[in-house]
Amino acid sequence: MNSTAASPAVDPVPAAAMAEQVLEVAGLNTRFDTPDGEVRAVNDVSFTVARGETVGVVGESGSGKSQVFLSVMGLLASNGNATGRVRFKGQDILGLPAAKLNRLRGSRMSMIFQDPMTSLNPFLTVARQLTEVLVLHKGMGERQALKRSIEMLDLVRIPEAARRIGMYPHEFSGGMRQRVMIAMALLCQPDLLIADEPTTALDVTVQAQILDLMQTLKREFNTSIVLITHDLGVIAGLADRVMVMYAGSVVEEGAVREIFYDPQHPYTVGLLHSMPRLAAGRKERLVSIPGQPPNLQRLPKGCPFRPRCSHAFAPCSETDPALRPTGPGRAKACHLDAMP
Amino acid sequence: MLSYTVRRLFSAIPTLFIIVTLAFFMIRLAPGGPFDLERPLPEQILQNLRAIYHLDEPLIVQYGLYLKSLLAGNLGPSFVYRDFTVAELIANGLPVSIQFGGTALLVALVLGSFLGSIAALRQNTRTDYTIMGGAMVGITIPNFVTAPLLSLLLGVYLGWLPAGGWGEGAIENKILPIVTLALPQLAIIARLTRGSMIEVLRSNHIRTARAKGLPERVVIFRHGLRAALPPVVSYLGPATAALLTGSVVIETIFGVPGVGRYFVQGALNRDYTLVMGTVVLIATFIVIFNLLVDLIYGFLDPKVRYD
Amino acid sequence: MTTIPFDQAPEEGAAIQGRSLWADARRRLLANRAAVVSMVILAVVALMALLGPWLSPHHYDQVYRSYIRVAPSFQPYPHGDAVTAMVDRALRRSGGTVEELTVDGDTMRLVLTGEEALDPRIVRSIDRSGDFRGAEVVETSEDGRRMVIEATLERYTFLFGTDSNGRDLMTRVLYGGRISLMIGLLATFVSLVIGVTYGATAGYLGGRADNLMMRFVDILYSIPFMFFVILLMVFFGRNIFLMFIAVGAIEWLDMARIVRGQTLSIKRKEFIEAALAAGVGTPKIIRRHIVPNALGPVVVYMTLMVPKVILLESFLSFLGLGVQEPMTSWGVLIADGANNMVAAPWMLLFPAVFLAVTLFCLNFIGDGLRDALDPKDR
Repeated sequence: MNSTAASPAVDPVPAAAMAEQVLEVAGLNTRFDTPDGEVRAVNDVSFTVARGETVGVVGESGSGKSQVFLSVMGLLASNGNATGRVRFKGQDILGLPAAKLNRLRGSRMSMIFQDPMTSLNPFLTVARQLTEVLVLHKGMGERQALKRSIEMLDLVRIPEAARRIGMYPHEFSGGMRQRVMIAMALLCQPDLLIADEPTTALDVTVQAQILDLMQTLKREFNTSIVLITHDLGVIAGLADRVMVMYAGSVVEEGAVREIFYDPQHPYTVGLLHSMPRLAAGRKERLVSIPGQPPNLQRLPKGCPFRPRCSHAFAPCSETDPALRPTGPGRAKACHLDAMP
Repeated sequence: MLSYTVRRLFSAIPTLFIIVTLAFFMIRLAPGGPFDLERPLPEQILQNLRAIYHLDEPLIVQYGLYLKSLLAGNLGPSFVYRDFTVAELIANGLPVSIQFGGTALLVALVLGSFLGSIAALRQNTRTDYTIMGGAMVGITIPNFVTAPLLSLLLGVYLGWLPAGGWGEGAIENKILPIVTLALPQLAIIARLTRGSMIEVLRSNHIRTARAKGLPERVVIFRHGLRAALPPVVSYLGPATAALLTGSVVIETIFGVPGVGRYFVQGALNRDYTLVMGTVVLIATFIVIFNLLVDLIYGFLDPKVRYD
Repeated sequence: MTTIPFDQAPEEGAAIQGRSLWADARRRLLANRAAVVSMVILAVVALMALLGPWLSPHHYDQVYRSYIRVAPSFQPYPHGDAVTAMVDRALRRSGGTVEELTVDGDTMRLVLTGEEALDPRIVRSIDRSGDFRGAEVVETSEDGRRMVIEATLERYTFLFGTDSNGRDLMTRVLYGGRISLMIGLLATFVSLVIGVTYGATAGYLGGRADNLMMRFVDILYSIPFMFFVILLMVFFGRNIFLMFIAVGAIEWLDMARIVRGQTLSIKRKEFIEAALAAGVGTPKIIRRHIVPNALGPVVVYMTLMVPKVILLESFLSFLGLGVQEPMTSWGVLIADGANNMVAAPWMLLFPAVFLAVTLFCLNFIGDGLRDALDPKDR
């Protein structure tokens, strides 16, 4: 049952066109049942991730960006329910039973999480947590798995990896733990790595190191990466393409340069303005977007961003704008044809 | 680890000292004495008895004498069972109590954590509700109610088990006392395990384990149970204290010849030394057991280091 | 109830009503079916305990010597042939023999014969028995050796039966409930006052004072208090007030720990720093921020403490160390019932059921409150 890592996993779909896309998501909706009613965390989200590509997903907290990928991984909380279509290397994986999903998770697709302090099991040694992945997915023996794990820790630049691997997570610093998480995610050389705010909980200097590390690994393994963040700065250096999410929907999409230099959605503009820039003129003020994201239990009629939008006009309170293409590889969900 | 153990044992000394002092003066300041019988003894005999047991000395002198003999490991003679020393009485009762309480604790721990885990894994299903309903019954109905009710049902009406009595420790006589003693602790442990397990299953590191593609069995047993156990282990200290208290009732109801019964009889008979002996014994037991629990806890939780 | 204003300036249009923590908690509590049902049942039990003994036709320590350990019944007593035995007992020293005995409704007609002339004062001993009233001689034969007596039967209803002294069990169970609930509430209140004061002081002072105060609590904790309570009750008489002190003295420890922990953690919260930075005075901070925020766990713990106290009281009473006869409590009644369980199982069942139901309800309410106030699950 262990698919070999070196050669790509057996793919039922004819290669050529399809193999380009590692992940295809179409019409994904994620709902949570809560005592206070249904929360619509993800609304009709569609996108693709190509092989070797790095996609940045940006949005405020609560914009549903994490839930999209937890849905993809089958890791939703027990009251969550995802519908739509998710294909991983041509195979439909949404709603797959855990036993089948487990052949892909940790092996072909991996995820690292925001908080490295709590994402590692505090009761098991790092060695144990790393080797179990290899033993499970690669059928390695403990000795071989340990050797491979130490190599991996070396690769993510953990000093004295051979000695430290026997320690418990609390004996590592936050940055080190995130490196362990990354090493763990890359053990089987997955096709897709989903990084959910990998640097948010870390110090700025450590952040830079981790991003640097991911950059290197991307070059080395040619892994597709999804980088979820609320920090546009993180994306600028790493992503090829950017997806901006608001209130559970994608509001703008495009190549990273275009998004940064020619944002087409008022929300993206707002995000860019609220980002501090070293190079910016001293007189430029940091602008925050007024108001708060909408309540996902009761989305207002029309565009969800309308109450906070300074460009809102009549159609905005009537219909929710659909995501529409505005150029090659670009799309936005806004009634405005061009930013004024 | 060893130095920690030694330090902990030393730090228990003031606690034990306070307990002994408190118990000593409480008993002595109370009205009545061990020789206040229905038929008063002749004055001369009373005088002699009081002299033998140093009851004619000032209280503070008696206290000093008691501490001195206690330090020498001597619990003194029993005032009421005059042919026995307190140590002999305790030596009689202790094996029974330890076997009785130990079995109950084991039953409560094993069954409780098992049922609790099942309920957590089947959260909000009928299995969960049934187990938790049962646990609620176990917690709310005190053992002095379950004991007579169970012996009425199983002993008197159905005749499956002896309704009372210790019967020289025959197995079928032990079932009811052990079950009634274990029941409340079993229920509490089940609830604790369930709560702790649910919390662990929701935690980030379990999400990581799932993201690694580990089968559910490994997620639960290797990653979940290990993390869910510490709160249960740290409850074992209070559980032991509760079992000791509970055994006072259960031993009295079922006529189990253990230490708990000596305590009640000693108190009722104003058998000063017997009461003091049982109090010292129980306090020491609780102190040692709490230490043991802490050591086990340290073994389970890598974040805790004793040095 | 205190409300914590929750300033969420609603944007025009999508107005979201800011719900206070307590309103939210109330809504959650009312959505918890077990808790709501428990509150209703508990209210009924409490009302019965409060009014029952007063409405009941029986006094809680009135002894009916003819009705010892009679089974619960909706039918008023006496049943069937029981009248014969009652007449026999009433006439034990009068020397007459019963020739004929008829019961018609509530009227008993008795034909009595004797070796010698019967004394008409016999009716007084019939009345005195307590089982009959208004006995009078209807006719007497010439020689006075035959007498017809009519009397009205005293009919009693014992819904829960009677105890081994011939007292109405229902009245006693309700009266016992009154005592048990009262002890539960009062002792909880005592430990609440001690615990909150002690814990809040320790938490608020912090530093060395806190260390010292909590060290003391730790030492008290490791003392097997139950045994001391037993000793206390054995040696210093079985006094209900001593019981309050004993129970309150044990239970305040937990309360003190909880309140101290709450105070400490709230003290370190950002909103306190914000309030301090904004120049809000200390008393106002305690009143506006610390107390309302510490209240949740205290309320929950209090609800869960009442059943613990009731249990403790019952436990002591069961051992014969608590409430004393003729006063009663559920523990006393259960102990009594356990001693008579083979001959009169109802004596065990009724108080046990009342105690269990009350404890159940209190626990469900406490759990419900905890879930309602616990912000972890929102």
